[in-house]
Formats: sequence, C-alpha cells, structure tokens
Amino acid sequence: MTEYAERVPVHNAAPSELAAEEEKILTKPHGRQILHAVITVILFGLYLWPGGLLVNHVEPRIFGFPFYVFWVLILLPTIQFINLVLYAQYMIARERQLKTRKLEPWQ
Amino acid sequence: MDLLNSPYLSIAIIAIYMILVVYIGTIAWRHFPQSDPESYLLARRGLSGWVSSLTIQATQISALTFLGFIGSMYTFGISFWQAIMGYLFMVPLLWIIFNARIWKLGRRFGQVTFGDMVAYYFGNNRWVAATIGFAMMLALIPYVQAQFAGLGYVIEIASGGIITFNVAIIISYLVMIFYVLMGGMRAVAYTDAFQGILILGGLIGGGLLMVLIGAGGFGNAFDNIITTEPRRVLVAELGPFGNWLYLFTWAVAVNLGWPLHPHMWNKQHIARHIEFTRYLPAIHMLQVWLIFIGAYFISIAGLNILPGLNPLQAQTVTVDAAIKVFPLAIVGIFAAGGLAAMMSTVAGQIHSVGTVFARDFLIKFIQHLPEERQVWWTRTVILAHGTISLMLVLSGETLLTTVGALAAGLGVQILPVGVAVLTNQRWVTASGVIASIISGIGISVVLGLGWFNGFINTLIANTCPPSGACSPGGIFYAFYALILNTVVLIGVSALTHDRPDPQVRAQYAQVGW
Repeated sequence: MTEYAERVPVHNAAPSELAAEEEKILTKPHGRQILHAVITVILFGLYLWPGGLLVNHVEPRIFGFPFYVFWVLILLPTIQFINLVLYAQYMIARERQLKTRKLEPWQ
Repeated sequence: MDLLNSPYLSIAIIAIYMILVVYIGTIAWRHFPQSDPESYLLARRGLSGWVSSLTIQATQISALTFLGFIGSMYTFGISFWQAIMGYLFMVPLLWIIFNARIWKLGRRFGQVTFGDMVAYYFGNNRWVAATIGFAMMLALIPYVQAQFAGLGYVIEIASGGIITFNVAIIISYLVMIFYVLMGGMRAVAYTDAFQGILILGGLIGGGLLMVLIGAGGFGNAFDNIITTEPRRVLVAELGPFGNWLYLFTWAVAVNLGWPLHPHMWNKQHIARHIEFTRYLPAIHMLQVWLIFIGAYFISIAGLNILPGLNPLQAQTVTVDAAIKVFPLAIVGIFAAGGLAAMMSTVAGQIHSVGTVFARDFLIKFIQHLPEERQVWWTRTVILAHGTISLMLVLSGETLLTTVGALAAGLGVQILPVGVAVLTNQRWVTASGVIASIISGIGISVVLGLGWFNGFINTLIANTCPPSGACSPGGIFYAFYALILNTVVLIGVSALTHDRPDPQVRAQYAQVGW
C-alpha cells in the first residue's frame, strides 16, 4: 500500500490549483467514465434491439455468418471493445498524470 | 483397442490436469504465508494484472458457459446468445463507473466484501453486514451446485462412463477443497491463471475444430441450420427469448448480477496496481467475448452433428458432439478445458463464501478474534458450504441455465444498495438497506422457485406455469424483484432515521473514482 505513494514524486503546482483539481478528482466520477458508460448503454440498446432499426433477417451473409449472428457475435462487441480500450487508455494516462503529485493510493 | 480412442487415455489426461492443479495449489500454500486473513482472503492485495485478470475470467466462466449456455443456445438459437452476451455490455458498464472506486475503498478501509463496504458506511452495522452476507451465501448455493453437476457430466462422458457421475463429483470436490483450504486466495488465483488459459484454448480451439471438422465449415453449418430451423439464427425469435420484454429484462438483471457475486466482487481487490481496474473492463470483455465465440461455435456444431435433442439432453451437447468428432483422447483434452472452467469457478465461489462468513459475520459479531482463529473459521465454513453443495447436487438433476439465472437474479438484488453507497447517498438508511435486500431476495426466491405459482394463478389466471420459475407478464422475475427492492430501499429509507455516519460519509467522499 505504501509502495504506490512512495514512488510518486511531489507535484510543484500551486496549492490552489491542486485543491481545485483534487476537489474535481475526489468527489465525483470523471466525465470520461460517464461518457463511456453512456456509449455502452447505447451500444447495448443497438445490440439487444436491432429489430428496432432493421428487418429481422438472415441475409446478407458476412464471412459466412447470417446477418444477425454477425451483428450479435462480432459487430457490436467489436465496437464495445474499442469503446473500452479508449476508456482504459484515457484513464490510465490520467492516472499517470496524477502520479506527478503525491497521492494516497485510494485517491 | 485404438489408443486414441481408449477411455483410459482420456482418464489419464484428466488425471494429469488434476495433478497439475493440486501441484500449483500446493506451491501457493507452501511458499506464501496463509496464517493472517489478509493473505488467506486476498493474497495481500498484491497479485499482478495478468494473474488477476485470468483468475477473474476463470472464476466467471463456468459450467454454465461450457454446458448450460451452449445447451440453451442449441435450444433457443441466437436469441439466447443475445441475452447472455449482454454480459459484454452490462458488466463493463458497472466496472467503468465503480471498479476503481471499489478498489480504492478496499485500500482505504481494508474492505473485502460488499457487506464490509455497506456496513462501514453505517458505522460498522453488524446487521447490515449479516443480511448482505446471508443473501450472498444463499445466492451461491445454486451456483456451486451447478458447477458440481457440470463436473459430473463432463468427467462421466469423457471417461466413457468408467467414472460415474457421483464418483466424478466426489473426486473433483476432494481435489478442489484441498487447494482452496490450504492455499487460500493465492492458490485459487494461481490455479485459476493456469485454468484460465486452458479454458480459452479449450473453448476457442475446440469450437473452431468442431465446426470445421464435424460440421463441414461455417458456410455449410449455417446453411444447414437456415434450411432446417431459420429462427435459430434470427434475434428474439425462439422460446421465452422471443419476447423482447423478457429478453431485455433477463439480459439486464442476469448480466448485472454476475459481477456482484462475492467471488467476483472480492477479486476486485486483489490486484496490486490501480491501473488494472482501468484495463479490466476491456481485458475481461475480450476474454469472455472470445470464449463466448468459441462456445457459440460449439452450439452450431452441435446443431449439425446431433440435431433434435431436448433441453435436458442439449446441456451436455458440448461433450456429446465432441465425442462424435474427436477421438476420446482429444475429448479428454477438451474436457480438461471444461473441467478448468468448473473447478476454477467452484473454488472461487466456496473461497468467497468463507470470506463472506469471516468478514460479514465473524469479525462483526465477535470482537478481537485472533487472526489465526479467523482463518480457521474461514476454512471450516469453506468445508461446510462445499459439502452441503456437494450433497445437494448428488440428490437430483437440474437445468444448468435455469439454476445460473436464479443465482445471478439473486446477486443483482444488492445493486440498488451498492449504487447508493458507492455514490455516497445521504438519504439511505440501514433499515432501508436491510428491507431492500430481504424483499429483493425474497421475491426472487419465491418467483424463481415457483413456490406460490398456484396462489398467483388464483389471483390472476394463467400468470404462472404450474411449476418452475414464474415471470408474470413476460418480465423476468429477478427484474421485478430489482425494481421492487429499489422502491423498498427508497420508501423505508424515507420512513426511518438510521442514516450513515456523517464522518464516514466525509471519509467516503475523499476516496477517488
């Protein structure tokens, strides 16, 4: 537990900037978390209810898969995976930025 | 006898797999201290990202995926897969928002279980912890039962019937209970890492080969299905999943329930670095997605190789079809992948039951219990819960997906309370939490097991089937329970006053997201 804090160098920003940033960090989820969660919900809707957009059908066959099998098994999960990778990349980059300040591991 | 088709070779492969698992578990036991709760329950929160992600994957992928879901896909077509693959959206949804916060709360306050988190919010309220702990232990009984049943099916078929269902279950139980009891979380995690790789290889490789060799390739396999039963490749067409409302409510309630089970929740704390919690949604989604694709291929191959099975027969189509395609020795390797799925899940589950008992009952009700005694009690509960589940499964057969949906339906009932506490709500009360969980679990059990179907039918005719789960109006029963328990949480909290400790709320507010 201490390892994490010890390897974090102290930031040299002004205290007021730190306080403002810390307030933003600590009290609510980051905007990107909300954004990627909303995208997930939209993708889930499209995934679960393609019948709302398209006629329920087998054709066209894509890579041998019937259309809806491709939709459920490949297409929507691929988009969701990209969504999650983008989330992870952004948040990791942000965690690394935050490590320029001395933080407890739970902050 | 042809060596490749000898059941003894298949048995030998399964035996090698079990010896390897015991060996890895023994290393974890002998090389790391297990005498303090933090080591035994959480491997000192110090596992690498690789081990953590593989153990979470192996714990989640179970007999349900290897047998039950493939059987249900065989019966209901892509409609069922659409419901179950909602996992790829619902679980990351929870984790994107809350996962890092759960990890950080664990670091800040030493929390392990869901009950820990909520009880601390109400000044270490022991009744809140006990209610949640009891609910979670209850949720895991059908789940563990399903894993044991799966182990029995697979070993019996892969051994050509030489090892019977009951003997197979008892052998698997002895292997698993040994390394869980001795090595704790570290043994569970290390064996899971090995088993996680086996599961990935077994399901993806097995599924691909079964379609290519057994069903003549994808084009041919799908042509055959489209000709005989096109509804199997159309969304929301077959069985109960043909109803959009049922599909939606099932997909939401069940898939939000999986990550709330204690064997998944507790493992959010085991990783060494916070970065892991950010990667986890993507990594876990990728792992499960690949496995689901492999499982789907197996169901496609099954429809081509063994058409016309009833739902009970279909739940072992994975191994039955493999026997038609591969020599028994290859079936043994494939079965080892399936056993890995089940063994890792049941190990994680009964370890988490011990953890829940230790954290939500023992240390909340008995102050200053020495650490060695905590570990001793945890091991005793693991042994007891495992044995009860074993006896339950030996007493009768069951449909795996039905049991799994009940387990997930029970798990999701803690969601409203979890969201309220994680978002640091001031209005929620301890009485509201207890009432909410009791009502959610109660309604899920009553509707899920069909205890009052006759009575409900006297009130509203033809609402429920004569026996089995009752989902009135085509809405999945656990979804009803989820909505009702949310209403109860809000209502009882409005009428009672045992609100969270302001100091704790201030502490929780300091913990990051």
